[in-house]
Amino acid sequence: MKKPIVFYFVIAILFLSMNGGAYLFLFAPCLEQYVKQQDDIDAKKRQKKSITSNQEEIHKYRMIEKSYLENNAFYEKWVRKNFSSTEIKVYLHELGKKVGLKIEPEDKTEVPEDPSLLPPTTEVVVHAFATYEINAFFTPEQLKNYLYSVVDNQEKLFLLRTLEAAAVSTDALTSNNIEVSDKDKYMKVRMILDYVYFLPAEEEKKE
Amino acid sequence: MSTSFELKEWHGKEIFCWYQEEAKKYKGKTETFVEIEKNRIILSEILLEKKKPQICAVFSASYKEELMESSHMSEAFVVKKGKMIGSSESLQGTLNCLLEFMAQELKKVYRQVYLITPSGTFLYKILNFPDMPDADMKAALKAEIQGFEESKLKEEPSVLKSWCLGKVERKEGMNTNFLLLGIPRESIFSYIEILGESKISMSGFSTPQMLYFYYLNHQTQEKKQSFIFVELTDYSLRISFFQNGVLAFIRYISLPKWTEENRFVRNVSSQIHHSILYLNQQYPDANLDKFILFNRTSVGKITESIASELEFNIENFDLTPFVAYPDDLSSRLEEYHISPVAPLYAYNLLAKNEAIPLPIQEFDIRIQAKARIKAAIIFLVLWALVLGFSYYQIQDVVNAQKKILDATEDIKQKQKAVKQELDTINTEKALYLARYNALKKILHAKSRWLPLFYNAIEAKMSSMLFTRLTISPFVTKEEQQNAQIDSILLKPARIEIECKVRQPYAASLKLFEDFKKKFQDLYDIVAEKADSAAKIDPQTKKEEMNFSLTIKLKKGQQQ
Repeated sequence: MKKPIVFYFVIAILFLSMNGGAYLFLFAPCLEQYVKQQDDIDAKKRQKKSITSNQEEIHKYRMIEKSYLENNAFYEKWVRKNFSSTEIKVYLHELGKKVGLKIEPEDKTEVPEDPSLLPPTTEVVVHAFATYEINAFFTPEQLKNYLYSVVDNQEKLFLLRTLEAAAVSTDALTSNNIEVSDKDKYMKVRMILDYVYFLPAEEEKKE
Repeated sequence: MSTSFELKEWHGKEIFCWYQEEAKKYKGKTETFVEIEKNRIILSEILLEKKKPQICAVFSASYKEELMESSHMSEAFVVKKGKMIGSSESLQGTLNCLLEFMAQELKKVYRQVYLITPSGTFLYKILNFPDMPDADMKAALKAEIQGFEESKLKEEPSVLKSWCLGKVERKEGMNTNFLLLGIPRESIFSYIEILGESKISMSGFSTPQMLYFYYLNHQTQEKKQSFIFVELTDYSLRISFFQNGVLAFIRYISLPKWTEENRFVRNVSSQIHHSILYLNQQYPDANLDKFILFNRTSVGKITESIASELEFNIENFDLTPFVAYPDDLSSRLEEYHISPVAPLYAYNLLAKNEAIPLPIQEFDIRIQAKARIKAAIIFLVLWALVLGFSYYQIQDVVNAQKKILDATEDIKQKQKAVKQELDTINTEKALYLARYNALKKILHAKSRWLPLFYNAIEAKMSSMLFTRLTISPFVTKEEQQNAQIDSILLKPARIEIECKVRQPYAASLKLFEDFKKKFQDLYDIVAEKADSAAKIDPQTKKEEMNFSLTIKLKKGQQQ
C-alpha cells in the first residue's frame, strides 16, 4: 500500500467489482423488468388511445345513425323476398285498365335468375331486374298517365329502358278496333320496362 | 506591584535571524527573553557572543491557571549561571514575586529587558544587601523579617520565610538578594526549601529556543541532523523543525480544553500532521532523522498513542538518564510533583542515537496512505449507499409501473368490446352506404329522361306531329356485340325525335326550330341536374351517365 498506484488500482478494482456486482444482481433484473413493464404500459396506452378513437367513431355514428336507418328503410322497401313475375304482369295490366287500355305485358327477361350471373353492382348489395315489353296504341294523354303511374309509383321500382313512339297507319288502328277518325291522336308505342328489386340481406350473405 | 517593560514579540525563526545580526552588533551584551505560554513562563538571559551564544540564566515557572489552589503543585525555578538559585510552587503570587525580582535585577545590570509580569496578590519583600560579613547579613535579615511580620503579617495566619535568591554582580561589587514571602501554606515552604537546599545542577533548557542554542553549543560540524521536536502540554503544542542543525520552523498552537483522552490525541495528531504537510511543502528535499516528542501532559502514554495515530516511530523525550538528583530528593520527586524540564535531549540525540535518515515526504506519505485508506473506505461505503439508494429508487419506479399495470388490467376486454362494436358498426355502415349508393344510381337512372319525355308528349299534343320518338340506353357497338347488358340499367339515355309539321314549310321549320331550341335547353338543365344529383364527376360523365339527344325533321313529309 506504500505505492499509491497499487492502492488506487486495488480501490479501482473494488469500485468496479462493486458496480459490476450491483449491475448484474440488482440493476440488470430491475431494468429488464422496467423495460418490460414500460412496453406493457405503452401498449396499454396505445390500446387506450385506440379505444378512445374507436369510441369517438362510434359516438359520431350514433349521432347520424338515424339518417342511415332511414336510407336503409328506403332501400328495404324495394327488397323482394319471393319475386313473382306474374304478379308484375298483373300489376301492369291493371295499371293499363286504369287508363282505359288493355295491356298485355310480355315477359322479356333476359338475365337468368342464377345469382352468380347477377350484375355485381356492389360487393354487398345485389339487385335484380325483370324486363317486360308492352306494345299498345296510346293517346299522348294515356301514355303520359300510364308512364306516370309506372315510373313514379312508390311501391314498385320500374325503369324505362326503351320507348318507341311512332305514327300509326289506319290499318293498324282498324285491326285493333280503334276508330280511324282519331288516327292522329294515337301513337304506336313499344316500351320495355325493367322491374328492379333488391335481394334480401340473408341471400346476399349466402352469395 | 506590576512592572512594565518594553515588550517585543518573537516567533520561532526570527530568533535565529536576530541572533545572527545582533550578535555581531552587540558583542558581549546580554539580552533577556521571556517566553510566555498559557501555563508557563520561561525567562532567560542570553549573552551575545560572536561565535555562539552563552546562556547566563534561565527562569522557568509553570502553573495551571484554573487550578490555583496551593495544594496543586507545579514547578518554578531559577537557574543562574548553571546553578538553580530558587524554585517555588507556581502560585500566582510566587510567580509575581519571582518575575518582578528577576526583572528588577536584570534591569539593574542590562540594557533592555523584555518582560511581561502578571499581576497578583501576594505578600512579599525583596531585600538587597550589599556585600557584608555573614553575621551582619543574618542580623540585617532577621531585623527585616521581623519588621515585615509586624507591618504586613499582623493579621495574616501565614508564616514568613526568607529565600536567598543568590548574589548579583554589580559594578560596585556583589549584592545579595533575598525574597521574603508570606505564604499561607507550610507545604510550599518546605518545597521551596528542599529545592533551594538541593542546589540541583541543571544546565538544561525547556523551550525550543533554548534547545536551539543548546544545540548550537553541542552540534559538531561533521554531523548536523534534521529533526522535529514536539513539546506537548495539556494546553499547548509547540512544533520545532531543525533542518541540518538550524531551527527552521516553529509553530505554537493553543489546545482547547479537553476531557476525553482520545479526542485530545486525535486533535494533537491532526495538528502535527498539518504541520508536517506544511513542512513538506516548504522543505520538500529535507530528510527527517528523528521525531521527538516531549510529553509534559498529564496523559502517561501519549507518545505511543500519537505514534500509533500517525503510524510513525516517535521517540519519547526522557530526561531521567541525564538529570542527577540528590538521593534524598530523587526519592521524593513524585511526592513533590517535581518534573524537571531540562532539554538535555539534544545532547542525548547527538551522543547516543543513530541517525536514521527519513525524508519528510516519506513520513508524510505514510500519513497520507493511512488517510487514503480511510477516505477509500468512506468513499466505498458512501458509494454502496448511493447504489443502494439508486436500487431503492428504481424499485420504486418499477412498483409504480406495476400499480399502473394493475389499474389498467381490464383495458383489453374493453378494447375488444369496443372494437367489436366498431366493426359491427363499420360493417353496417358499409352495407348501408353500398345500398344507398346502389339505390341512388338506380333512382337517378329512373329520373334521367322522364321530364324530356313529358315535354315531348306535351309538344305532340299541341301542334307537333311525331313520326317517331325513341328513347333507349346508350349502348356502344362493342357492348352490343359482347352482349354486356349487366349494367344496362345505368346506361345513359339516347333520345331520338323525328317529327313533321302540319303548317306550310317555312312556318313549320320555324316551329320545329323553336321546339328544338326549347327542348335542348330543357335537356341541358335536366342533364346537369341529374348528374349533379348523382354526384357524377363532369370529367367522367360521358362514360358514366349522359344524354344523347337527336332531333331531326323528316324531309318530304310536310303537308
